[in-house]
Amino acid sequence: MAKDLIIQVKNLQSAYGERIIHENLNLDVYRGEILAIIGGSGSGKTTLLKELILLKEPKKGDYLIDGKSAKNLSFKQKQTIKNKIGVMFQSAALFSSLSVGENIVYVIKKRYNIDDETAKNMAMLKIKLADLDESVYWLYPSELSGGMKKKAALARALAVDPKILFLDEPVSGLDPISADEFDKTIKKLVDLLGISVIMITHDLSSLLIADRVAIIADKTIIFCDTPDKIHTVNNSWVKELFMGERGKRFLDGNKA
Amino acid sequence: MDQQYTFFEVKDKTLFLKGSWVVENVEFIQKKLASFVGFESVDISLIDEIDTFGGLTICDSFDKSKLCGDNERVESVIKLILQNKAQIPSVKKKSLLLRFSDYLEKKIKDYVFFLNFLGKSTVDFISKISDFEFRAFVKDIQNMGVGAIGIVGVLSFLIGLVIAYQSAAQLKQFGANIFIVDLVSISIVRELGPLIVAIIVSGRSASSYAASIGLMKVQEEIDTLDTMGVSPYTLLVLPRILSLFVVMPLLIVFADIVGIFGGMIISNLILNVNFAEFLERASRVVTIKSFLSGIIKGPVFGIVIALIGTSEGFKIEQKTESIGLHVTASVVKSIFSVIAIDAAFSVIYRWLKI
Repeated sequence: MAKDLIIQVKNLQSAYGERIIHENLNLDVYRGEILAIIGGSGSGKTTLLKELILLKEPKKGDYLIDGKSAKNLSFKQKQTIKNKIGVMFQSAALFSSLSVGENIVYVIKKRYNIDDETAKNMAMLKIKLADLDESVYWLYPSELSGGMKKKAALARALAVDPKILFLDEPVSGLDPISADEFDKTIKKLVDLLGISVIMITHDLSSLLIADRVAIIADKTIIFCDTPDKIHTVNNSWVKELFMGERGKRFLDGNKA
Repeated sequence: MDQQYTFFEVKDKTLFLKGSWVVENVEFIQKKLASFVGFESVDISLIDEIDTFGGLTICDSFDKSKLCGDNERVESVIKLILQNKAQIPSVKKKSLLLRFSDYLEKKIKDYVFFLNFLGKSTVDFISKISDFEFRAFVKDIQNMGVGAIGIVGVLSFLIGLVIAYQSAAQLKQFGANIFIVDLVSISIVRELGPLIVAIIVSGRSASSYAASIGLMKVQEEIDTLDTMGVSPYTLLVLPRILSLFVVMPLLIVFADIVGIFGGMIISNLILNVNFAEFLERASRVVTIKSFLSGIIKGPVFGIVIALIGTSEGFKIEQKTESIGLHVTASVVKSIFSVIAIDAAFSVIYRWLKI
């Protein structure tokens, strides 16, 4: 893997009012890798995600996206960065008044000047890439099951071939088999399209597709390395997570 | 036209594709593509960046057998696209007749839904009365009754003012100044007071009922109540019906008083009918019968508004548009019903000679 940085977070501090969420947080993300972020509830995973996708300003510190500082940007500069990222939120967040196909076409047409025909074919392609059936194109989000919504949201996040893909708990609410399929789909797309993925997850088996794992605890990132080194982490939450019953399954799976 | 050479190059009947075939450039590439025809082979080895947009353009423009050259990444993207390319299923356009029948069906279903709602509510009110929350009832009186006093007061004051002002000029011509009292007080007490209150409450309460119940439905709170064995009708609909039943007549009394006060001020200013004269005559012309005939409309309007508002809330589906649609429908339908019922009241009063 080329050690080429796509995101670099330096000494980040973030807070909601007086409540400090992150302190001195550092994180590097390399091009073409899948980075999983794990951490207990309330450890600030989603806050970090919101900062990285420019929805929330950090209090202090800086981060570079694709080599450019993401601080004090003009509206236009922000838009250029936003064109490079695709986000899939936890609740899928599809526009409910548009069909799945129209959701994707809307994203494409809003960002690039592309003719209708290509945009539509592209939307169809993305739907197929996310392992959905053709008929989903004209269905509305309210007519989809939970798993299909997640896949449709992935298709929309991939709409303009983002350089960086952010996934907020992509497999929460899916059954283990669909979750595994979903993970495989993500892995396949990353390998083929060379995108970088930052994935917040609670699902240990999702870590199997991750190249590196970052653990957020005590307001900062306490570990960021390949999954097989996780046992070296000295943190009670992490130990409980990986050495308990749940963790054994993951460690066994990782060896295989 | 130099720019085209960053993406294309021609060498003896072979078209070399090169550069970044990515989404930012696809618009330009597609425009230029039309001028490159009749090549025997298309070489892809010089492309250094490709994404699915570039890949799709290549797949759409060139025959796969013509592609040559070694480029692992481009080949894998093209393979991915060929594997996943699919036609968008076409949607049949519906004929006018079919659309009309759909519309009729929707309308009929709408009425059936309302009747169903009425039936279920009535059954639940009787059989599951224990689910009734007195606190919700009191809170709704606070929100929909006390909360409406300000706007009801201002509007009925203005209406009283305007009626008196408009009629003053006509009455003055005939020297019938004192009849302003009959005109203002009777019209407000019998018609305008109840109607103003009903329209304000339709706008305020029906929409609020529809939206709050709709959101509860979207968030599956209604289903939760159902599985708990709690009747959503008794819990959510009954307190609202009862609160408007109680609040409407009180608001009407308030609107009557403030409206007549508005008329009184104009009469005093323009027609020299002072407050004492006005009140003395008003107490004679406004009989208890005509006063009650206005008040009695209140509970009826209240029940209708609450029923329409809550039933529209229960119709809301899990779509954002659906919320807007049904909230609007709740206001429009309740204002329409209120005015229609008011007209019916006039006819009935005429028969009963009240």
